[in-house]
Amino acid sequence: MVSHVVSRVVRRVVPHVFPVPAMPADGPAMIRNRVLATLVALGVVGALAFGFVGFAPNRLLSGRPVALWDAVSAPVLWVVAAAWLALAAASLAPPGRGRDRLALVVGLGLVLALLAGAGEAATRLAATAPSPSARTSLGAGFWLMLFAAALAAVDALQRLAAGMALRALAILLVGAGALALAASGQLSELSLAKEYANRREVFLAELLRHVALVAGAVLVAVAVGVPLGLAAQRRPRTGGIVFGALNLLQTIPSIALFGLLIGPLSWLAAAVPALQDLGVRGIGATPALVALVLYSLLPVARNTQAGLASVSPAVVEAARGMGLTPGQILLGVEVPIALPVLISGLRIVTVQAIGLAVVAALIGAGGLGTFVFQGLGQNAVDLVLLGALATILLALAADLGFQFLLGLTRRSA
Amino acid sequence: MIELTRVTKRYGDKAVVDDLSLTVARGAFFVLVGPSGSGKSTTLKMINRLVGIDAGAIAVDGRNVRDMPAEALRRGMGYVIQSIGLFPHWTVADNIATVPRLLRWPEARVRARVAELIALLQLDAAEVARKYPHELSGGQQQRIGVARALAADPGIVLMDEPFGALDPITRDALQGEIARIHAATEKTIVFVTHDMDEALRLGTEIAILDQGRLVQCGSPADILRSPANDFVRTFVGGADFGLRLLGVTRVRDRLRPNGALAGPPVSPDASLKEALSLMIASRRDALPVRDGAGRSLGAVHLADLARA
Repeated sequence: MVSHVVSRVVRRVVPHVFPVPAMPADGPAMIRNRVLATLVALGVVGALAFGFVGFAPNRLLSGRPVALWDAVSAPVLWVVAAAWLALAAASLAPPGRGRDRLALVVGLGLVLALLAGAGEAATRLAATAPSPSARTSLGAGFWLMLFAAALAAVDALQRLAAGMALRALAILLVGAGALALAASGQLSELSLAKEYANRREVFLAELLRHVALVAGAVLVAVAVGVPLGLAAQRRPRTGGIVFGALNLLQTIPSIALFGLLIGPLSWLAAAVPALQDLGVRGIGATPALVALVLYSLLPVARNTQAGLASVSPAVVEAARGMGLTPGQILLGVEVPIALPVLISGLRIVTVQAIGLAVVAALIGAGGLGTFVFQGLGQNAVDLVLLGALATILLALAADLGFQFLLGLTRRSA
Repeated sequence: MIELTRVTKRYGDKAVVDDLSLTVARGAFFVLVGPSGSGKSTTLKMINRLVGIDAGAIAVDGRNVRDMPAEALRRGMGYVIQSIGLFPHWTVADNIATVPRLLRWPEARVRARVAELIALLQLDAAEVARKYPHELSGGQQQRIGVARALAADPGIVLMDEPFGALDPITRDALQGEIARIHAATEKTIVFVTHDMDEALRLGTEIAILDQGRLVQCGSPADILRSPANDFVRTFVGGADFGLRLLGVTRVRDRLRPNGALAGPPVSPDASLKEALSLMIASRRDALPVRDGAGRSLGAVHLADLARA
């Protein structure tokens, strides 16, 4: 999903921002893939104009940028340069599956090469450092090139009109490669890895807490939102009220909602001791869960209503006429037909909740936001990054999971 | 047998069905016909309780439909609608098997019945059974709609303008199929249409409705020969009135016993309309009449067609 949107935006915007002058069709320097050409330009700018990594004597000082050619060994430098050259050549080549396959493989390989290069740079810089508290963080050049390389692969996947299987394979390959690099110790001198190493136990606990918070919120939102959507579809007047209220909730900024819940929940916990024993408090997981559920209700209810409304009235009339009971019509006919729309709703809600749950750390709910806010407090960018990157990866994983589910329901429908 | 006794249905102040009494005999092909807003569809849906009634009573085989659970009542009747309403997430075979499965038939019997129905509706089982409805043409879909309605072998089939959305050629073919199935199975069919030609072609009994009231009920010939009032005259009339009249009269009713004529023979059970068509096509003013075995029964003459 995210990758589709990014690629679409890039294709739309790029020709306007960097208009490619019209060239004669048989011109020798004809650019055939403008997206790729722009990404190559971006990558080259990243390599030449920005530091590949930043090097600092300790984690609180901001680092001094180190250029790619100073940071990595000659073989890595050549691999990266060759990869950009190959992508540049691909952008000039006439359209064809061979060209796009090359761009895909080189793009994916480059992502891993950049990771390995950053790890190598950190190891080399650590060897020259006077103290073990010296830190190597990922620089703007690294991120620009990583971004450009990943988008080059995404663009190639789009051009190949790749199916679910190829997309999944590409993601699995990069994921497995990154994990293998991490496991081999190649990346362990990076500041990000050190921040992780310092918090290894807490990290897993907070990750699980984050997942539990999101899963709990989505489950409750389904339990409440699906009946609301059903009621809205059956009685349009009820629908008006329900969606009016949920729309209003959606407009409250998340931090405000977290804050607003502290008062009533503290009062509730004080007034009803039994609730207190259940863990209901003004701060912590309870208000976070409540807020996430409130934000999730609108998409769940809306998609339930839309999915059920998409069932043709003729189908329902035929079902009634043949003697299906209202329950059989709902579960056997309407819900299966509405399922793809319902799952799309869950996908939106889950990805949204994963992001929102970061903010919930502010009111003591824990989760990956803990690292983000600790990092912000300590001015330690890599700690912020640890929380943020983990959140992004979690959201991407959830998105992919739901895409897969959606593919299954489409196939059977 | 279906009996409607002084049935009334109101939406707000308007009576869409007004004090209607009808009797549908067992085995009849009973056509409810009338302009839009005449209450014909509402009448049909009251029989299987998709629409409730405000006054009066409906009995099926002597039992008031209100005394039966709605679902049980409906599982005992086929139901076919213009917009077909096949389940898009089920295969054709599963669609046809809907009611037998609701009735918990053994799976082997369900499968045998599905195969039988696909053959009855002249579809290729190997081709369509595993397909989904959207992969079929409109005509094929409605054939499946009819097969689904017949699946549990109900004594009564309700059809609400089933062929109204089909192209003329497909409609003609399906009209032929349903007439053939009716003749072969002796089911009671209640059929709603606004198309008088369809009513005359298919019905053994026609009820003409206007503004929720019964205007006339009788055989196609009765209605054409003695329309009850100006409304019926206008409704069945128009430029084709004479041809429609020929369409409901058999050749055997205009038979002259005189000798063997040349020309293409016509069956005594053919309509006069078919005979006229054949005369014009073969440029003759008389045709020999022969029965199925080829025996000569006499002749039909152009001059006799215009006789009352």
